[in-house]
Amino acid sequence: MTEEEKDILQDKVLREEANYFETNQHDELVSSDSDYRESFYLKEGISRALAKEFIEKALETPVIRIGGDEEDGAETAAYVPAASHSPSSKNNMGWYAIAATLVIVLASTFFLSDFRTANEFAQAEIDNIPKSSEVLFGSAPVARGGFDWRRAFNEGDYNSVIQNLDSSDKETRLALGISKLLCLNECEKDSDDFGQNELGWILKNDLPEGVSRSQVLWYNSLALSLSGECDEAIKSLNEITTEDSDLRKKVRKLKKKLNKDCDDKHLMKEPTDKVWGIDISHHQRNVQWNKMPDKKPDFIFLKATEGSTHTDTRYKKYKAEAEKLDIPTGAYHFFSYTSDGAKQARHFIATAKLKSGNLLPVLDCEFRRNMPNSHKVTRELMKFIRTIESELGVSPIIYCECSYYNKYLKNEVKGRCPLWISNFHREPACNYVFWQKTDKFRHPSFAGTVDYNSFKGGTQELKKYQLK
Amino acid sequence: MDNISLVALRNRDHDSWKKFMKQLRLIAAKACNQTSDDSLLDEVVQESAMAFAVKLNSKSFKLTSKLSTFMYSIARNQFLKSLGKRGTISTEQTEELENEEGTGLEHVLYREELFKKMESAFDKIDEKCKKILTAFYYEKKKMSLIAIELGYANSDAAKNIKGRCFKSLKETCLA
Repeated sequence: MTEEEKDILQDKVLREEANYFETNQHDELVSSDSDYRESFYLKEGISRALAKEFIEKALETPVIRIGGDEEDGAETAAYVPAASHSPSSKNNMGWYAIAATLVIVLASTFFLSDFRTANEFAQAEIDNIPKSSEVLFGSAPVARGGFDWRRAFNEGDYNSVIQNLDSSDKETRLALGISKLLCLNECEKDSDDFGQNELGWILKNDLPEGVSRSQVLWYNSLALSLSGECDEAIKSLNEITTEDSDLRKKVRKLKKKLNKDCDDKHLMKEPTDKVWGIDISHHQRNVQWNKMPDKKPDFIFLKATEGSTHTDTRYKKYKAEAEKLDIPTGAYHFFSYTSDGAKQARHFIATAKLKSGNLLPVLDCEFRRNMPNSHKVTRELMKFIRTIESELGVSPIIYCECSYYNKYLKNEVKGRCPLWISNFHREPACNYVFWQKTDKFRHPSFAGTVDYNSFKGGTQELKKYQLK
Repeated sequence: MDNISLVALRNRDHDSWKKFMKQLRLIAAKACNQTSDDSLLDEVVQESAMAFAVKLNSKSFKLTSKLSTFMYSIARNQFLKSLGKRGTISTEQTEELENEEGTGLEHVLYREELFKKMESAFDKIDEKCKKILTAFYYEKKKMSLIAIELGYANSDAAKNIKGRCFKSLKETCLA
């Protein structure tokens, strides 16, 4: 099937124009072709993004307000839970009381609730910054070095201010900072420069006469939020003390959003295990192999194949690069439920070309929508495993979730195949050798995040899982 | 909730949507086991409303239960996904979600992650692309009609533009 045909099929499914045959074909591709799956989910994402706009338009505000105000409370309180949960009419009074209490609680948080991220909120707040130099900079000098920056600012020509203003003192530095903030993306400046350096400098030094510290702190918080410096933005917000209830409300709102958006507790910045590795495929583009030694993994699993015909386009290249750096590599096969297990195994063996020193072959099997019945799944998986065993003389490592293993494989291969278990939340309950702990590992070789795996044991034990 | 007209919601009636959103929050609170975590509840309400708006726009959408029951099941599902994203989902809840979705938790979260990426990328695309993608994927108009409405030479030209727009969005999402 060509890429164009796949594209057309996806569109038909999304537009509900696919017939029975096409729907089945689509289901098969979703389960066996990761590129297809990715594109399809992204297309589905377009509908989701548009749904958000649809609701916003219906509510006639860029902000989707959740809940309601108090005068509408009685109406909201009339909500009766779904029929299947409906209590008797006597108990309805109880439900009304609960609902009414909830309305009061929710009404108090009503103004703090909207759907925007901290970044979107900060961007919208920039529109509320006065665009007048008199209001912003008070008595600051009118012109310096022949450049009438006040005029340029008042005319909205922030690029001229940024390019021409000699910001050697506090007044002009404030003007420069605010110009950078007001000119989000259109001016000639670094993309993550929203004036936070200038505004930060002013806050550490004297403020220009007539300028409110709370206002500058607010502008600084917006700039820091936009540049992604969450902790600094929250610190700046915490310093704001003001009588202005509107500003206080906005400060609370932005802080709440920052706390939510910037929570990086799931991000793994450094390896936490003695022996660890990553797993990659063609999805990781522009890998900077020269940076791999900065945080050198003890092993790398590479995607080699999928189904009975698909080969990962970057397998050979990445394998060669990793081997140049003396990093042991392994190859995995993404299992498809739509082709014969033995055929898939032979395709994998022919493509992966594993040799002495490589990690044991890996069978990657995952849940998908509309799984075939469990007997069929187990039968095909076992065909794959047996073919690997007879051709390579070793049992493959099984990559899956514990629930998958328990459901489809435990009775057949218990103790025979080492397990590589994916669980991003807690240590797996089944007896694993490799544990995929997160997909949010930061590594200098990759632009985004990458999967991180720990090995249960030391470097000597790892050798037991390499081909002789 | 149950006396809100689907037609009014489809027609973007302001009052109906306002009423719907308010009552959805109450339903979502229940689906979230009356959580005291406001940010979790906000997320569930937002995601449920979006999931509902997608369904509302679907040709095959038919409400076979009360709207409140339907929204409860959407909100419950979104609640479990949110717990999954936050890494605070229990084994029982994971099973509940996997049964509902017919797929593993990791898969569900991967799909949600792509949705989020697209949502953020979609905010940044130019008007031309937005119009054509909206017309094709959301309003589900025929390419020939889109070409006429948006002033393209013919449906092939519109199709090419649509393809290029999606490709560029995809690249932004996966960058």
